[in-house]
Amino acid sequence: MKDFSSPAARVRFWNDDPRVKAIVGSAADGIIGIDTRGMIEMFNPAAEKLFGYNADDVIGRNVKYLAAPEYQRDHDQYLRNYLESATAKVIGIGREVKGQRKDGSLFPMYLSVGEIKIDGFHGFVGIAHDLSALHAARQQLAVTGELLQNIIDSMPSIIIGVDAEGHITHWNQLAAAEPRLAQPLEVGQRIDQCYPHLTNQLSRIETAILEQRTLVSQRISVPRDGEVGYVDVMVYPLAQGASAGAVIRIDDITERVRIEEMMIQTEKMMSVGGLAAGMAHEINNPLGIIAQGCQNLTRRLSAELPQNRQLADELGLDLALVERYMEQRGIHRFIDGISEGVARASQIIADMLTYSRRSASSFEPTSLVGLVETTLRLASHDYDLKRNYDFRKIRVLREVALSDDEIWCDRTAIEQVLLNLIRNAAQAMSRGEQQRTPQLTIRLSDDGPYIRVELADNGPGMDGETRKRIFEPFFTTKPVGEGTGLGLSVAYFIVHEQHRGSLRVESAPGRGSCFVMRLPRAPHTSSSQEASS
Amino acid sequence: MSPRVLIIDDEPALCAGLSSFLEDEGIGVQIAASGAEALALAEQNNGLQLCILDMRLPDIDGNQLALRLHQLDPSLRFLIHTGSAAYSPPDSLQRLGISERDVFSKPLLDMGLLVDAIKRLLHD
Ligand SMILES: Nc1ncnc2c1ncn2[C@@H]1O[C@H](COP(=O)(O)OP(=O)(O)O)[C@@H](O)[C@H]1O
Repeated sequence: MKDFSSPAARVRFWNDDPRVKAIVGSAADGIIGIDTRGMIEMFNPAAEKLFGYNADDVIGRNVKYLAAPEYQRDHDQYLRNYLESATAKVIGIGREVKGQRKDGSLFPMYLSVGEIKIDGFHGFVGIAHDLSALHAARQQLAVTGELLQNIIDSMPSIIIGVDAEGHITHWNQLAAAEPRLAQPLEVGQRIDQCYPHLTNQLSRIETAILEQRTLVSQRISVPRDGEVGYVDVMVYPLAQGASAGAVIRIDDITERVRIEEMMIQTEKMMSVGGLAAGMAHEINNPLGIIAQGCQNLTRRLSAELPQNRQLADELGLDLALVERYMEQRGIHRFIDGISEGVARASQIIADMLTYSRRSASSFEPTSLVGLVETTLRLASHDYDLKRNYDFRKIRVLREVALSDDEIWCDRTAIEQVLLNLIRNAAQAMSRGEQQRTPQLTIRLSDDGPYIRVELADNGPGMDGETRKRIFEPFFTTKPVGEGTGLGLSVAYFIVHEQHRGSLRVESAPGRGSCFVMRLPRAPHTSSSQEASS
Repeated sequence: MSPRVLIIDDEPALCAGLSSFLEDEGIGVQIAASGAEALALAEQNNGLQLCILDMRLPDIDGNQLALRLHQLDPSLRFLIHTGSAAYSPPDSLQRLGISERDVFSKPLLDMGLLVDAIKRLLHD
């Protein structure tokens, strides 16, 4: 057993053997020898480079100053713990810690510490491996990954990466937020398990990769909020190789399809309007002849007009008898029938003419609450025996949450819209075997630059087929004579084309119908409309 | 003296229906099927007080005709009876005192209203 109690003896232990010295001196990692109290006794050239100290500066100083401040406080305790109870934090093993250079800068390193206990010598040797470069690379990778994720997250499409078999590898935020997901997205899951409506895309993924070309499926109908929605699905092959796969992009085009459909509606209405404008004059003339003829007939058959009585006297005709005859044969019923027919026909022409006027004639500031009340009053007078509904049986609820109820509109036109919606609701609620008290809720609320008007009834509602077509001109489910199918298309036209608002419906069988109208508060001119939208 | 009214319309059956109704009201009626005829009648200056005027005539625009008739006889009053629903009197006619309530759309479902308007205009 040698005596290592003197510092000189200990220094010799670290330096005497030239071969050991050569190995330690040429090592690329920092190698540091310390005694059991943590005092540095050996500091190799790599350590000098790593920490920025000369060996002479640090030999004899506590090794803890080579560690970042947060490790220094407990360092002495580590050593003591190890010596007393052999609880190792680094000794015998290694871990990643932070080192501190002479200039105070910190850097990551992998530190492993071994214990040396031979021939009466007791000390530790630490090997410090610089992790700066690795960390920088790792961080770069993380940044790149994050950037890529941000890029695909910012895409307005659903984006999913898949391998050649359709197993999911990547996805963006929109993909995860997709409400039609059958199960949460997970790496390795096959795409059709998460998106059942993409089942038939599996073979397309294969084709896209095999033939290295983009495959596009347009206007695929998918369920959406209980309605039909539409998506475009594109499959882009990734470059072939080890990571053969594809990127699937899904665009929700429901809104666009809806706008297109509405534009087709409007086109239809405009062409009906153009036609009506052209023929209104030609039709109104003969209607006038019929209407006037009926009025003259009635009057000239009456015993009240002196001229009639005079001629009858001259001819020896008993007008009272004529009146009784007509009464019993129901002649007046026929005449009234003709008059009514004319009135109806002329209303149809007037409705169709609405479509030929893109802008309403007279816009003025109007209280919407007042307008609703006026319309309700109008509707309540308009109980209709033939169509057998009674407005007085309907409970009307009003929910007004408006900062200001003034809007810029064509009063009569908006009144016509409201009256149409209210009448339709009343008719719907009196139809069929309704058990509940018919109830109409009218809600007015703020909606940005718009006022939102909701009219909800608790009637029978309508199925999807009906709902899709109600704004079409001449679409009606009512018997001939009761409905012309123009009411809602005229309302639609007034709101969309004349007022630049919107009108739509939410409804399902048995769940009532809710018409939602949005009207801009401020006036529009066609040019400022372009600019502001 | 009974009021004298000129119905100007190129649709004979329509004129016949209107004139029958007005005659039953004790109103004297003349008929013109074109602008030229109307102007000729007005020139004869035979006591016409009011014209019921269709806007679409074979030879002249109704607005123009009203202005020409007014030149011939500034005391003439006018009622418009038109087949186009969106008609509203232009400024030139408004200056003659013709307003929205003097406009009647075809088909005239109640000729009584036209009679009321005639009485209103002629008793002013
Ligand atoms: N509140 C409602 N509840 C149920 N169905 C409705 C409602 N409003 C409208 N509809 C449906 O829309 C159709 C079209 O309405 P509309 O265009 O006003 O024409 P009409 O009332 O002449 O049939 C109606 O025939 C009816 O089937």
